[in-house]
Amino acid sequence: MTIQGKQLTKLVTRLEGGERLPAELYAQTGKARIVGITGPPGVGKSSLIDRLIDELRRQGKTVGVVVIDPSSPISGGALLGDRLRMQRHSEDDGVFIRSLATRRHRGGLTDSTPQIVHALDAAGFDIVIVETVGTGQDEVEVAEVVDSVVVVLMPELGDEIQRAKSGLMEIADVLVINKSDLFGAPETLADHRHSRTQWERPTIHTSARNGEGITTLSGALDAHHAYLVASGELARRRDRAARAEVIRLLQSRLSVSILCALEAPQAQTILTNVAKRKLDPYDAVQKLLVKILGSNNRSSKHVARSPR
Amino acid sequence: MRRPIKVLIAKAGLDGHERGALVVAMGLRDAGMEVVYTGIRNTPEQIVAAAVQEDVDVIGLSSLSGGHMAQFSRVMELLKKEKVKGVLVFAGGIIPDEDVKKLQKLGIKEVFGPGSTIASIAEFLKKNVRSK
Amino acid sequence: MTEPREQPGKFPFTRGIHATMYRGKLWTMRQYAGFGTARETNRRYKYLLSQGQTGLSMAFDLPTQIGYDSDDPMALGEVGRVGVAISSLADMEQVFDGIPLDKVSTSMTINATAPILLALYLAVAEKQGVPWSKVSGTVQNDILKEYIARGTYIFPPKPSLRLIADVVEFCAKEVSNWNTISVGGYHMREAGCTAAQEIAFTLADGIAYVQTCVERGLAVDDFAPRIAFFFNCHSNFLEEIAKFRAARRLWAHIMRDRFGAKNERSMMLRFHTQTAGSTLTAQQPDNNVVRTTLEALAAVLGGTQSLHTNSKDEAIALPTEESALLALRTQQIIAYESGVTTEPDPLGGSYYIERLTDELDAKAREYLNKIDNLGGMLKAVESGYVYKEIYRAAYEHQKAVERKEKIIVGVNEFVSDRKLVLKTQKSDPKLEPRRRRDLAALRKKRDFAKVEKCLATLEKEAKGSENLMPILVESVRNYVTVGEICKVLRGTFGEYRSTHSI
Repeated sequence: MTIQGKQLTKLVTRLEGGERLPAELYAQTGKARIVGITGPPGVGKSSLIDRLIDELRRQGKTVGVVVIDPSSPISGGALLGDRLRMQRHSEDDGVFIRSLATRRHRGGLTDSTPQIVHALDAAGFDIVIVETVGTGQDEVEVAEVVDSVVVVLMPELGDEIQRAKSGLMEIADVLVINKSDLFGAPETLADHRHSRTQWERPTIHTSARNGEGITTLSGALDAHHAYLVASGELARRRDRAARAEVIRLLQSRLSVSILCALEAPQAQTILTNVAKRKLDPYDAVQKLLVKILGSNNRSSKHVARSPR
Repeated sequence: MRRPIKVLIAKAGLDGHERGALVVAMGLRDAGMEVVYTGIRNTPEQIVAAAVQEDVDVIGLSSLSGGHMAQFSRVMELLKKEKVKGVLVFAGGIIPDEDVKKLQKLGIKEVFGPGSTIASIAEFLKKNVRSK
Repeated sequence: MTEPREQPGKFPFTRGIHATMYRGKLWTMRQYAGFGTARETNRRYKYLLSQGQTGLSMAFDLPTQIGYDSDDPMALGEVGRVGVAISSLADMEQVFDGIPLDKVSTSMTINATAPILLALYLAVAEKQGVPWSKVSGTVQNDILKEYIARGTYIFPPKPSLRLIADVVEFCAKEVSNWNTISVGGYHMREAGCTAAQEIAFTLADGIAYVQTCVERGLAVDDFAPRIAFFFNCHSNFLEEIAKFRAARRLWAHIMRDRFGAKNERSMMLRFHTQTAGSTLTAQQPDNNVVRTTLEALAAVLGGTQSLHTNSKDEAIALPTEESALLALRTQQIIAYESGVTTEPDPLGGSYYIERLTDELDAKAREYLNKIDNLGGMLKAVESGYVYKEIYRAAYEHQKAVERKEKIIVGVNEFVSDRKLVLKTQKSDPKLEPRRRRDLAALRKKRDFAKVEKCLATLEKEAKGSENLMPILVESVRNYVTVGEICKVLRGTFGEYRSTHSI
């Protein structure tokens, strides 16, 4: 089964909505190189990707791109403004760009990102790029989904040093300092060897505006991929990714079950009683668990022992 | 649960005035929709390609330079050619009354002229669009 | 009664750049016009001149502004819509047929292609036998605001600034009566920024241009007197008057203290004003006459050197002859009947106006400091800071209107059920095919060898660091088209790609 063009876009919509990826497609995944590009807002990630697409297309590679922007916690809406910077690739059949809103998901990705990445992989794109906003400790989920993580920073961000200590630096396989043309000589962050691996993380200075540093970045990604394959790290990362994906799906399914169960009138009564101080939260959970696990046939085989 | 309504706000042709498009984009976001903004200087082909890849429910076309007849009709033509279904198209900007009727005949569901409120656009979309 | 501490005509010119202001000479009544064909534009100009308009203002269509000939595929649907289509000297000659260029002054709203349109104007003057020293006018030539508020950019910032400096340098020597840059705040205000931001972003753009020319080696006093400004006049009557005063004071200090100007004329903020298009409503269009009148009056009380008043139907389309005339009459009535011209800065000394002036001065300074901290206006623009400020202000304004915190008569209050259908100026659907035919004929008629030679020289000099004005003049003399010139320049300089979003 192959998917292309409008079929692909419809599939992505269904996955976005929580539908499952067809099993036949999952069997076809694992061929694409998955690259994550993250960093604080305003550093130029999308412009960088726009240039990177140029370079990759020049090399004859096809590119699928998923750009993720946060949903407003208040309205539930989102302004997906990254595509704007890649819009000139819209008519290229070898490029597919899709904007996604995080909706209620936290961690930087959307609920469906892993499945959408699979869909692009199965559709035959050579490279799949996932762009997310990453500012610190919370938004490191991208590392669980991709093979290579590019962290993009900008000189003159006051908290450069802070970032060096944050979770973002820990997941970076390649560090990019963008907008080097605008802000002059950038602060150098020492190239840092990952504690557990032999990969020496390069720092690349780019100007997405001028196109400087893009071929270097592409080369670094190639080098990282070669390293991953040679060291066996690729297999380890994909193993971790698969496990993380299943766990996430489980958690997501279970929380859906929970929310559904909570709609039942008996459940509502329990919740009201907690609010009225007639019942304490822990006892409420006991009662609700019985209901949830009891009513959910699929999980009933895996009933955990009741917590004490 | 239905996904939020997904909207593509697009500017076609050479017109570079973004205020209206941006204000509507921000307003629809605050009304709970997911809005993709294309920026300026898009060809009709680029707009339709974006609409297809993003699988939007709505396309909002903005024009202030008077080129709307040629550009918007090309968009509608391409949507038909690509057999794109289930997308509501509306327009906004400086569009004379006579052209409004012509655009509606082409399939543009509504034209929001100067002085239109975000609230009215949001309401219109919520009433007429069922998200995918 | 105490003497005011500031005097009109004296540094820092808060109260006006001339001692007598309109007592000595009225502001120039300069209505922006131009649409469709060169012939129609010529007719409209002759009409306005006969009705007492004292300067010409040229509007170009988007393809001309963005460097495409009328027959370029990118021009589809846009030819002759928002202004006149100029692709070659033949078009320019038609616009000024019977209009002697030593008797009028022409302001051209042109930015990315300013050097080319200036070259065309100079070529027409040449054909009329008018020496360039007698030619007077302005090119807007202000690329920074294009990147964020108007959109008619072509090349990236560095080559664009080079072209701007080429114009300044060339005119300082050859076209001494020409205003080489009209630094505009009008468009940023239309895009949604506040009055204080309008001052700050405009002056910051001006600083960037002066800096560019100084870095090229030009002496400040050699070119600064020819830099002009272009402001909006918005609906808050008193705030706008104060805005102009604050802007003059700030610019005088910037030129003297920051750039070391010695000539007082370098320190004078000379400006053209346009009443705010964004305040016009499609609903109850007659109300727009009242709005425009108040805005025009504020600009006059604010000491503008030149003024455009909008026509009442401009919320819908380009103005009809009748409504364009009424807009001109509005200025004439203010000038000749209202008596406000007898005293410069008549509201100076008013407690409230002086306070507002000081407040706007202070707020604008804050923004200017912020921009300096970002490394200057070019960086501020490229980083997206200015873009975000403007459009977020626009969104706040829209929300205020929808919440009725801001009332717009006829739109969110005092609405009428009756829907007025206006007689609007229609665009000619046969225009584009006609233009295509004309251009095809032109290309066949001219000396193609000369065309190729000019383009080759242009490319060579563009890659180098020559001032491009001479080769541009030579090119347009030989009927090289705007699009052909820009194709070469695009190839050499590259194209700017907008990356801004909120």
